[in-house]
Formats: sequence, C-alpha cells, structure tokens
Amino acid sequence: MDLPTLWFALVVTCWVLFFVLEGFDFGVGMLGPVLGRGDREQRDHERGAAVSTVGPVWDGNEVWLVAAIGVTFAAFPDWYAALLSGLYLPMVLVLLALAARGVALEFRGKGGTERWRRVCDAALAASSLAVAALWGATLGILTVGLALGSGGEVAGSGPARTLAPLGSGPALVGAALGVLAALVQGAAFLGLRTTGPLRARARVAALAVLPVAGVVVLVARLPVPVLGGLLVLAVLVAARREVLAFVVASGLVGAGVVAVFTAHLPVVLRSTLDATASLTVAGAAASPDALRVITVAGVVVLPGVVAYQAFSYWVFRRRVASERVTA
Amino acid sequence: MLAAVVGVWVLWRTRRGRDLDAAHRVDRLLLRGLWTVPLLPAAGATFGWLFTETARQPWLVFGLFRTADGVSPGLTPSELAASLAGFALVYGALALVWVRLVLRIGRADLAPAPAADPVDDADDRTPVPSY
Repeated sequence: MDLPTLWFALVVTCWVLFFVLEGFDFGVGMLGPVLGRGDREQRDHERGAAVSTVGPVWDGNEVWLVAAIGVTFAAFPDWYAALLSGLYLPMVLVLLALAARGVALEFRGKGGTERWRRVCDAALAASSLAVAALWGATLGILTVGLALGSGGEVAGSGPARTLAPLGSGPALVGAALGVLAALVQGAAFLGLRTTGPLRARARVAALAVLPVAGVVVLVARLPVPVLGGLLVLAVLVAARREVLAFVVASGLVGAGVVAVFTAHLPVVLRSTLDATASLTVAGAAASPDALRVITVAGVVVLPGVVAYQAFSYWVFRRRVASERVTA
Repeated sequence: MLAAVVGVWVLWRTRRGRDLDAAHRVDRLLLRGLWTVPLLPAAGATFGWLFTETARQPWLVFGLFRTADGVSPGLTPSELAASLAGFALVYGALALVWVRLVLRIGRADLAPAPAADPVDDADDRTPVPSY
C-alpha cells in the first residue's frame, strides 16, 4: 500500500470513529430531555442521568472530528481546502453549534437551579440535532460532489455559494439519516448504560425511530441490505440484546460512512461541473516527504489516543441509575 | 507566576490558623487586590493568543507564507461578514453566561468538607460522573 492510500484509509477511519462515537452522544443529547419524565424532581434527575452517560466521553469522541479534519489537512491539503472552503457557511454553522453544545454540556451542572438545567438541556438537544443534521447533509453532498472549478474552488457570490448544496436532495436525505442514525444509536447507548425507567423508555424510543429510518431508506432508494440491517436491529432491540443492538447500530453507521467515502474511488471529491476538476487520492495528496513525516508522527501518537480513550470507556463502564436513591 | 507567588505568600501568612493582617503592608495590599488574581490567567491566555497572532503578521508561516496568500480564493465578503457576525453573537452570549456563572460561584459560600463515606468497598469506588 502506498502512503496516499494508507492516509486515505486513515482519514476514513477517523470519520468512521467520529460518526460512530459522537453519533450516539448526539443521540443522547437529543433524547435525554425527551426521555426524562415524571414529576419535576424525577424528570430533572433522569435528564441528569442521561447526560451523565455521555459526560465523561463526549469530548473524547469529538476529538475524532478534529483528527479527521487535521489528518485531511496534513495528508490531502487540496481535498481539505476544496471541501471546507466549498462548504464554508455550513462548516461555520457546525462550529457554532458545537461551541454551544460543549458549553451546554459542561455548564449544565454549574447553574444550581432546575430552570438553568432545563435551558442547558434545550440547548444541548437543539445543537445536537443541528450538528447531526449538518454532518449527515455533508455526507449526502459527498455522494454527488461540489461545483468545483478547475482551481478546486466553488465559484459564486453571496451566501448561496456554500449554502445551496445543503438544499439538494442527497443533502436532505443525508441530514434525515444523520439525525435518525444518531437517535437510534443514542437510544441503544442509553439502553446499554442506564437502569430503570430510562432504560425501558430508550428501548421504546429505538423501536419508534427505526421504522422512520426504514421509510427514509426506501424513499431515498438506498441499497436493500440497509433495510435488512434495520430489521435485524429492531429484532435485537425488541429482544433486549442491548450490547448486540448497540454494536449493530454502530456497524450500520460505520458501513454507511465507508460506503460514502469509497463510492467514487480513486476520486475523493467529485466536481459536478467538470470531471477533470475532481480530486483523486493521488492528486490531492501532500508531497511524499510530508507524508513520510506525518506517518512517523501518526505511528507514535495514534496508538496512545486509542489506548487512553478505551481506558476512559473502561473506567466509566457501570450503568447510571435513573431511579432516585432516597437515603 | 504572579498567582503562584501570591499563593505561596498567603499560605505562609495563614500558616497554623493565622489570618492575613490588615496592619501588615503586603497583606493590606493583597486584601485590596486579591480579587484580581482569578482574572490574571484569563487575561494571560487571551493576550498570549493576541500577541502570537499579531506579532507574526504579515506572515502566516514566518518567512515562508504570507497571510494575504493564504486567503481562500473563492471566499466572498458576505460570507466573511456572516461568519464573523455569527461568531461574535454566539461567543458574546457564551461570554455573558460565563461571567454570570463565575460571579455566582464566586459569591457562593464555601461548601463544607464532605463527610467520609462509611461504605468503602471496592465496588462502590467506581467513579460515577455527575452532570
């Protein structure tokens, strides 16, 4: 395997890890405020329990987004420039929503009142929804490409230049699937990581979202095996096989991301205007010297990142109780 | 650095239950100015970034790559204005929230030391986060 191919595989790996890992914490962010019920105190407690399941891991999950974009920048500067510049305003929206989301998560427990926590939960749900939809839309856009000119830039004027792709059919399907996948994963994760009423309601939520995902898959005419995957997932959730359900949900998301990134190989970003302006793995790669340097750095750093992240999941492996303890 | 010096000084002066002494010259200065200490790291971090970025101009990579050459060619003025407004708005709102929370925490009384947990078997010591 030559170095550009190796680094392309690494970029896709980072994106898979981002969508799989952060997908479930987007889902938990959207579901927590909905699934926490009961009287005021109980609801407050259950929402806190839901947020606690992702509390220690969400920012670690988000590191894979930084890694994916950082690795693309280092190994494929032309791809990085064309994609992020061509989707300038959608990416700004992603950053703003991520900023609000991180603050909502971290400041939630620092206001001291139930009202403040409700405000943070609403901000968390809204920003999780926005980011899941925007990244789903970006994957949808990747399946068709951008209007790249010969210089690797999207031409045009005004905000429509970079916002218009968000309104295309594939982007809308991608946004819907991004949100639905996060909801399913989030419900599966809550089922895996909580006890009591929250755990039971998470199962119901997963079973409610899966048919909607099935309809979107049918309408968008995605490959039939995807439907089979959703069916298997529904059976696993109904049979209370929580570990397996989460693994299958994550597997489906990962497979989808790989499919999008490898669909047009060796092209990594298609130009909808001019086939010769499309970016390929070899064409977008950095110089061989640069790739050799980052290969050494990657070999040193990546195993450490994976190891400490695995460790943090191991430390916080116990379930979070959604019942209140009355001492 | 300054905060560390102040910290060591206060620790020394309050050793064995002593209190800062308003008659002592350094202590009096500290009692009046101590509230600025939490602001110093925030100011340090902010000015550190400002000085790093502005001192490097007009270069993006010193001596190699000019900032003017690093601008995305496709970017339009309206996009820049929109993103700048967005960042100013969201970060401005977040800054207000931050100031309010810092003031709230600053005004709150110190929490009493937690009582020792009577049950201390290994199973109970798995950390559980609270949010």
